[in-house]
Amino acid sequence: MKTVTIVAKADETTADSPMTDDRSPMADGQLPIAANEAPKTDDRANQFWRSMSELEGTAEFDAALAREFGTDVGDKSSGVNRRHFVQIMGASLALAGASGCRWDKDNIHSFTRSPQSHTPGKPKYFASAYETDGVAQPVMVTSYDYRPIKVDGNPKHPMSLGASDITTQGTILELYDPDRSKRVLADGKESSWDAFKAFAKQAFKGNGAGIAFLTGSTSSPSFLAAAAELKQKLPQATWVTFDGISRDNVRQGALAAFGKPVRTMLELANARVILSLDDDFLGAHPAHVKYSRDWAAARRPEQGHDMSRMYVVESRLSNTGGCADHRLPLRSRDVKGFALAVEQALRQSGVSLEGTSPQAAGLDADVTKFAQTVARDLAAHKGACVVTAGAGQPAEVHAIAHRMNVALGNAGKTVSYLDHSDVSQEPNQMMSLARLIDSMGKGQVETLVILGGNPVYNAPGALQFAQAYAKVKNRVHLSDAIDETSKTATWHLNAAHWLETWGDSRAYDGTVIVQQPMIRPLYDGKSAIEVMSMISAATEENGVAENGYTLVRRAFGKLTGLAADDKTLTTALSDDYDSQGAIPEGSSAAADAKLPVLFGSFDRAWRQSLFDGVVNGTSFSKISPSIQQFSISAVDAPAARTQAANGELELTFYVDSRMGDGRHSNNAWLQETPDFMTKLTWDNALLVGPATAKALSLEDEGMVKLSVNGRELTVPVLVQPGQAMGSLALAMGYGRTAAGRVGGWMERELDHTVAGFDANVLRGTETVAFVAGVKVAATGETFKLATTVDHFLIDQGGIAERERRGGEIIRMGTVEEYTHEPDFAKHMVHHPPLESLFNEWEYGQRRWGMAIDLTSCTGCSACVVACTAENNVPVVGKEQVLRNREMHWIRIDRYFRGDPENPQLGAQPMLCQQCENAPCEQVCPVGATIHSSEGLNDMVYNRCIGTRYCSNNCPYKVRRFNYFNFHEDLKDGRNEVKKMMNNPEVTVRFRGVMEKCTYCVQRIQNTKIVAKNEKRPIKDGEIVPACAQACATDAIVFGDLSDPSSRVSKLKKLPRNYDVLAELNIKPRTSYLAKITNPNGGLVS
Amino acid sequence: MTWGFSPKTTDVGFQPVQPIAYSHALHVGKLGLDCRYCHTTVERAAFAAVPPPETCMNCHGMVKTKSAKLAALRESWATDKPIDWVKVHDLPDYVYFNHSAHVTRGVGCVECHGRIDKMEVVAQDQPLSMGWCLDCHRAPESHLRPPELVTKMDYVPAKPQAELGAELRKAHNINPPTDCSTCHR
Repeated sequence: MKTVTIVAKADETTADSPMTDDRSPMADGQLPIAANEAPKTDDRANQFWRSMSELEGTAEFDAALAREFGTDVGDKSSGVNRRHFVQIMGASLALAGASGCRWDKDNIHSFTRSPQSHTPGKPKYFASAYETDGVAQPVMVTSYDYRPIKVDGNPKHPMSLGASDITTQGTILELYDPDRSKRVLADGKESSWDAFKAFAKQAFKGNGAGIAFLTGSTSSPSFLAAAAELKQKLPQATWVTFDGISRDNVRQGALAAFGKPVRTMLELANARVILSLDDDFLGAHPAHVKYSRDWAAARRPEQGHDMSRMYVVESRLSNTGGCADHRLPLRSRDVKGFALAVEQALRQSGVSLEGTSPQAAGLDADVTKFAQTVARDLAAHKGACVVTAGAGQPAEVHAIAHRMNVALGNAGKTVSYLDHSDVSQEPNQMMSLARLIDSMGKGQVETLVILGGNPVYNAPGALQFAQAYAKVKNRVHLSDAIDETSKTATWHLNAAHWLETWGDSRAYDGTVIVQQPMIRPLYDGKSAIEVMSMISAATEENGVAENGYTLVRRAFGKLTGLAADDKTLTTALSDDYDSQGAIPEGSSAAADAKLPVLFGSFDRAWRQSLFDGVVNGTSFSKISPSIQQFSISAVDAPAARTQAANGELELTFYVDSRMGDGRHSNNAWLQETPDFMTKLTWDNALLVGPATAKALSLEDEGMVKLSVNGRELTVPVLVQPGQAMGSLALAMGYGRTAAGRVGGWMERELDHTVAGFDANVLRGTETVAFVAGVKVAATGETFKLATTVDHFLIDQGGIAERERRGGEIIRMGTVEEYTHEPDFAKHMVHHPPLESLFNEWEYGQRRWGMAIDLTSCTGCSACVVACTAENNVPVVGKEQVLRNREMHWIRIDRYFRGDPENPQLGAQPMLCQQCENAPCEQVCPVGATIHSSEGLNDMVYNRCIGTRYCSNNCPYKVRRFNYFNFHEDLKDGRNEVKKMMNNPEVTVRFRGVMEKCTYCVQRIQNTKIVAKNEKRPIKDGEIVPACAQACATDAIVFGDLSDPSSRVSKLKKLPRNYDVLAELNIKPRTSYLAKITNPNGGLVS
Repeated sequence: MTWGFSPKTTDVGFQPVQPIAYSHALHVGKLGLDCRYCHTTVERAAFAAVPPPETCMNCHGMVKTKSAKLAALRESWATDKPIDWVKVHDLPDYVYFNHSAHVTRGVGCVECHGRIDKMEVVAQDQPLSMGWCLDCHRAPESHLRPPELVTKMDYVPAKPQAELGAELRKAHNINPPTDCSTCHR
């Protein structure tokens, strides 16, 4: 038990504090935090910790450390008991006896007519895209015998370059979700598309008065064309766009600053100094994949130029904040005051800013100092710095950021402005939604068509969408699941998944990407453009609805100016397209220079665009807008953070990178992926900073009732280091009541409880991102949260030992230290010469290895989901996560250092280290884990008998045991569709076997075979494991260590390269490059 | 007892009845079709693809168009429903075998499948057990032939196999791995 802990110290301090008398802290909604309470952390500056319980040394933490496998092996609560198991076994043994010793006969089914260039069992790769809130994510889909099994970033598209994010990786699961809607419903009863068409004939006539369309933001040329056509046919109809994750502030800020709609694109590769004003641009921005890559490119300490330096001012510790060199925890509402203070300091240092700005007075001394230091650094890097504001910040803050960037000469260098007038959205969506709801409530809307989106769930609670919705006579909702909005719709139309249908949309840079269907709609779903075409056809006497293929090709023609005559559009093209525009056989043919001459210029361009995943020449043009005069309202009583007198609780609603606006709620992969910062799975929780929690007497897992503006919500608390004092945070996208068996399905099956708590209830139209004046009252109840923070701890002779050696597993240094002593990371551990008791291995041709750069890792967790998708990693559910039984082969350890109110942070992806003297291999009694000639620790599932000795003996705690047959739900008829999702190149594991990272050995083997068939050596970088492929910052590099010129060999030669637990002489093949930060001397005390 | 459950006893000779009485003896043995006329992907993919009825109809659109034995083929062709061929050489699901890796290195079809050209109905010729695989992976010399002759059913080595095998192994840099992950993953 440690005695010198921060909390103990804080106790001493508060004992003398006048603010902590018996008065109920929340009685007056004020937060009693004494200024002198901020803990002193000098002696702990080098101590790393993962959770508050570790820091405090609680009994729970010690228990977690002592017991690797958590609680005793018990049955799943709904699992099979022993007697039942024996009965089942008896039955299956009898069956086995009857059928002889050979397994069941297998059939081989070939195509009757084989598609051109199709090789059974060889995956093909198709470029495509999917759109979220108006921005396309460029993707490459792996299709296995015309069955999509994995989605990655498109390596050819500049917004991805092959990298992807967590939701892109998870989307494949949503295609095969058994809870998807399978049919059209009219008043909740089974209906058909024809019935809907008949209804449309009646409902959509006249001039469109009383008709309203509610859609999400979109940049799709075919969608915009279809909407334009409908607007022409139904001129009186109302059109409203609404996104669950509002970017109104971004649009309005640009409008205020430049007088016209402008899209901002950061060019972070050119930025030496970055100031983020509450902007999680590495985690929750439509372009965060590109931003992450560019940001990391400017943060490689070896590149010969100065590393970039990043300042982040934010309320909740975000992924971006975790990567900052200097982070200032500040309530979201105080960020504007901070921005003004920076402006003020810039003016003082001679930067000429347009217009005037109100004084930012009353800031705490440390905030002012921070602002002045940042301003000095910005002024010293004119044209090479950038200021960016988060979508949650008010429009004014965006305008200020724009003004600073222009004044600092950053425009065109570290930030570009794009003319997106083609697709720019209504700047204030929230206002137009409120107007629509108002007229719905007054009974002025007879027919409401909602194309995608789920406003009953995610419209701000203050708007009371559901009540107004009930007053609309015809409620038409296109959706891929029977969600909250569908449940009360009169017409539920089942939508096609984006992998099933033709479409198009624009990436963040404006480039149009055509979305290719990978598979025919599994349940005859339709896309939004097809539904619009149906409605459009219904308005005419003999109108005929068109399919997505025709609509998208027409829009493509308009875009490229190639569709000269309609004949080109409607004629069947060649044998490999059918007239329905079904799946093209391998677009690879399109790239072939020897394209058959039967393709005209249109089809040549079309096929090339499909192949590349980008329509050339469609990116938004760069413009240089000038700053307009704009006024900024006075800063309202800039409350000092640490003074109770002005302290008032603020609640921020943040975007969870997994759930988004709630649309991914039924995705079990995403639900089970631990959030990087909180390590929370399956739920959201109210994040409270340690000091705030102490002042309010809140504890982990205690339920509290939040009330603001007459709205209430009861949520559990999670004490989160780094959360700004006086600010609380709650993730959006949880608390779905009609998502499905995973995310929550209140009415259908009571045993499937709702995951998390619905933050939308508390949101208002003016307070979509944060709201002040929140009251918190503990209810006295508790709620179990499944956090993985203390799971799979690396025990290094006890936690005390680790503290003593401090920062050994994760090693960090400043760029100064690195320059002064390049191999500082290696010298953090000293050990005698290492001699092995075992005979060391000799290796032949190849030695696989991996290097992970901790400087670049942002903790985005795309690698975790990529690994899950690639390796058929099972989902275990919340109850099993609580028992340490999550199965992820790669986890991202998150370490804090120093002051819990504003800790430094390190992210360390931890996966099988493929040791040369592997401890696991030595203890396996059945040879189920065996060393390969190339240095992999092979795992042979069919030999494993589940002793778990290997896991006991693994110092990195990266082995996972199948306590149950986690894939047994596949036997359930309704889950049949999920079988299509598995990667056929990887064994689906059974109950009772160990499993772990294999470096994606299936990719290694398949590449080796192809290279050898072609009689050539394997190229460096040809084999990319799933985690490295997904990584946006290129932090994970894999390759052959026996080739000194390979990238991984070169990285491992860097002086900051180190092995974790090298002193055990187990010779891990995975090594880490120490995290290097670039702090500003002016702020380092 | 152990021997009783060995694949040598349980699997060798497995000869299921196929939906069409296709005779390899006739097509390969008498007519001299090359294996790759039908099993087209064998040199570039893990699977040696079973031919689509389209391939059969190349000839049987003109030859034996009325034969009762081919009724199932014509039906498949007309209805677009695949034929239920029964898999003869069926490895466990945790084994990942790759045809191309073997065929392009000069392991003849006969080595694993036997004299297909003499089989009226295809039967499993070899045990296809792990030990049997490893016999060859540990000493490939006795099973190698010039890669261009892999499909030759009645192949006879031009010189003593031991000598030829060693030469071929060297020439083609053949080092069959015996790591677990070569086949299990």
